[in-house]
Amino acid sequence: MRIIVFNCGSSSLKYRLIEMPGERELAGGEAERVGPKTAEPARIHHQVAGKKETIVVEMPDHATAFTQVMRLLERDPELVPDAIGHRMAHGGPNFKQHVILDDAVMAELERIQELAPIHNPPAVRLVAACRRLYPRLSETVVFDTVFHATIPEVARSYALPAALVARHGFRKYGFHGTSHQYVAQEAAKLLGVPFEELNAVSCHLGSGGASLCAIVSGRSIDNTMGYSPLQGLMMSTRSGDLDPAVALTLLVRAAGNGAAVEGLLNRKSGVLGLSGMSADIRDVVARAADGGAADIDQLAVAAQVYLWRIRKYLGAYLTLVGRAHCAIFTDTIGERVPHVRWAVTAGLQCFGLDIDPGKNEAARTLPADLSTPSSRVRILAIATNEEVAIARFSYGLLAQADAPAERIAL
Amino acid sequence: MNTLVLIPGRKSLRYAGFVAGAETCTGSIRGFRWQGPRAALDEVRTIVQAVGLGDDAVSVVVHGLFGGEEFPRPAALDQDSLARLERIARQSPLHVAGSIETAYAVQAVFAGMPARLAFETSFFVDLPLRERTYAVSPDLSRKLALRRWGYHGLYHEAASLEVGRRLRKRGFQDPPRILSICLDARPEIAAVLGRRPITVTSGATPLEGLPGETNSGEIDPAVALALAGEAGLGPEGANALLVGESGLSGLVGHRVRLDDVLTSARSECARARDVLLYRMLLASGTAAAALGGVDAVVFSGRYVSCAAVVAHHLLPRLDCAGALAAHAGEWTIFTKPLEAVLAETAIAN
Repeated sequence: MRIIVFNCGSSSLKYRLIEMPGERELAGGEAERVGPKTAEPARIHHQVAGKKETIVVEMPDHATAFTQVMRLLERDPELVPDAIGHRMAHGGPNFKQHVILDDAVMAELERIQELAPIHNPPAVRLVAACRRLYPRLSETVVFDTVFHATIPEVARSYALPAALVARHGFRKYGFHGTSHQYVAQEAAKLLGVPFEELNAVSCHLGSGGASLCAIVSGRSIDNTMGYSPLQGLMMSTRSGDLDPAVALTLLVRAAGNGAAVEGLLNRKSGVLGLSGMSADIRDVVARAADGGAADIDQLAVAAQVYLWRIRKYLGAYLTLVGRAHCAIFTDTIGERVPHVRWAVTAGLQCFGLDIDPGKNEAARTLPADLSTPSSRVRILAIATNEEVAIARFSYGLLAQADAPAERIAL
Repeated sequence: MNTLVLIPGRKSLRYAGFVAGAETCTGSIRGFRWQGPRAALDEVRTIVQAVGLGDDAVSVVVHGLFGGEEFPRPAALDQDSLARLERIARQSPLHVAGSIETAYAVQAVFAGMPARLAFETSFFVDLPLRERTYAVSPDLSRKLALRRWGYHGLYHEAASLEVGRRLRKRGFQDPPRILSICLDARPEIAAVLGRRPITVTSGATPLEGLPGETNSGEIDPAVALALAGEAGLGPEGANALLVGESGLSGLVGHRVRLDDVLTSARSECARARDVLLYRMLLASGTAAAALGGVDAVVFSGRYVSCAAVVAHHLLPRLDCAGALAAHAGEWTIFTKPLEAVLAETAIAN
């Protein structure tokens, strides 16, 4: 079965065509600058069997981007998908499992999309477009929040009046679940531990969003993100944890304009806001280490705050997990920036973490074990692959439902 | 020197008189903000004179919650400190206004007597930059004087000092890594290295951090904005709800005290207790990571009598994760009330 996995951003559409159950990637790429016209033309970077091409094409919306991607694939009969797997950031309170799309699912997706106003609406529009344009193709929806459905009530509860919570649904959801689960499964394989017995702290450190996840017996028991992806670690443009009184003060200063404050905290804070220079922590760490910049103090502070928050949450979650098998680093920063891994684990021998500086610096091919032989808790760098994870879930769902996927009529 | 300690609160003024270090009288005047601090202090003066604290030999200590960066240590109550209080009034309007009102009343009622101001935030003035900085633009932080503070500095400092003394007596040489847990209406956990705080759970205001008797503690900032917006409360209404109707009382459904929640067998308290202990566990793990391990655990605060409940929940888990040094399993309690801490702090400084 060939499953095309879509990962929909606000102005982009990433895709991978994966043959299941062998998990062989047949094609992939990304449509960029989807939406209103920008200074540069919209284009699709498409790759098949190592051959890359870039196609410039107008894509005023995700439905058009999807159609263009399907046309590229349809040039080769061997690349025609049998099913579609969608990534959805937020599953709300009712999606506790990944699902096969039907009318009821579609209605619920539309109902909850404002829970993640940046991430869900374009993805929901894409799902709707796929249904309309390829109605005979099976579609699945894989939610970032599903892995965190096991977070116990004590951890997901905010200390708010019960009636208020019942009325508005305020609770921790947690995000990046697909990635956390994927790398934890890979870690279990690497360590020879049954996934159902794995205790770990997973650090998904992306170039955009980032979160830590505490895992006990293969189940998520906490995640640093909360009701929304704003809470938790300092991220590229998100503030992360912030005194709620400060958020309300900002609201007063903005004359009650909640969207302006959300914009400030989601898009102009974090690494970008604190450094004043870049939203990418790699730039900030490099410039701070370089020492020549005029704003060196501010860059150093930005780097320190970023690293300090990860270290603090790492300690909190290692305490929660108890006897952890491993700490896992993944996604762009976690996989590729040794300095970050070192800075947040060095000196944590008390928690059983003993990083080997040489192995850490040398880790180019992943997965890699970065810990010394005597480290009680293994420190692992594992490349995440959310698309493969989505393909696995989708294949499992479709096989279970025994729904014969139909080949698209050319 | 005899000492009179004054602790102005939102609704009442607590006072305590000390003769040669021993507490001779204690009490509170209700409605002191309503009737005016001066009338309340006249009443206090009459009471303490009746127990032998003569006017000519009393040093007055006024407690303040927020002293900002203007008050890195206790200060004499004089024109200079009053001017400094005025300068920080906008940073924490409610708390500083209370301090200013009380300070002027002390000058009037106890004229000519030495008086000092002692603040909970002083201990945290030099909190490391990485800990006190929020991830927003420096311009915004400057405009709002935005940074993290702790709001039980007097307890944390006194308890840490005592633990340090005990450890040194036992031959401990290095600055001890102390997990300091203050059990008060707004509980607070700090990591202290020797005499220096490294982390603290509270934030720019006492709202952030652990859930308290009526304050929510940490929540997603998006929830605060949703309360003000979609829930229709507006910023002031949302703030009032988060400060005064949430926390342990919000979880239980009616007003409760922290010691009730920690010790009560009533099932209605169970969930609030679980949430509080869970957050305390996370904060303790955070502190342990900041310190690189824990040498000593000390409890303080108004509800320090409940320390065993908390210790029995936290310590085995910290130990399991490896965060406790071998000798840290013996937790200690710091039993002095805030009044006594203030009396000693003022003398020491």
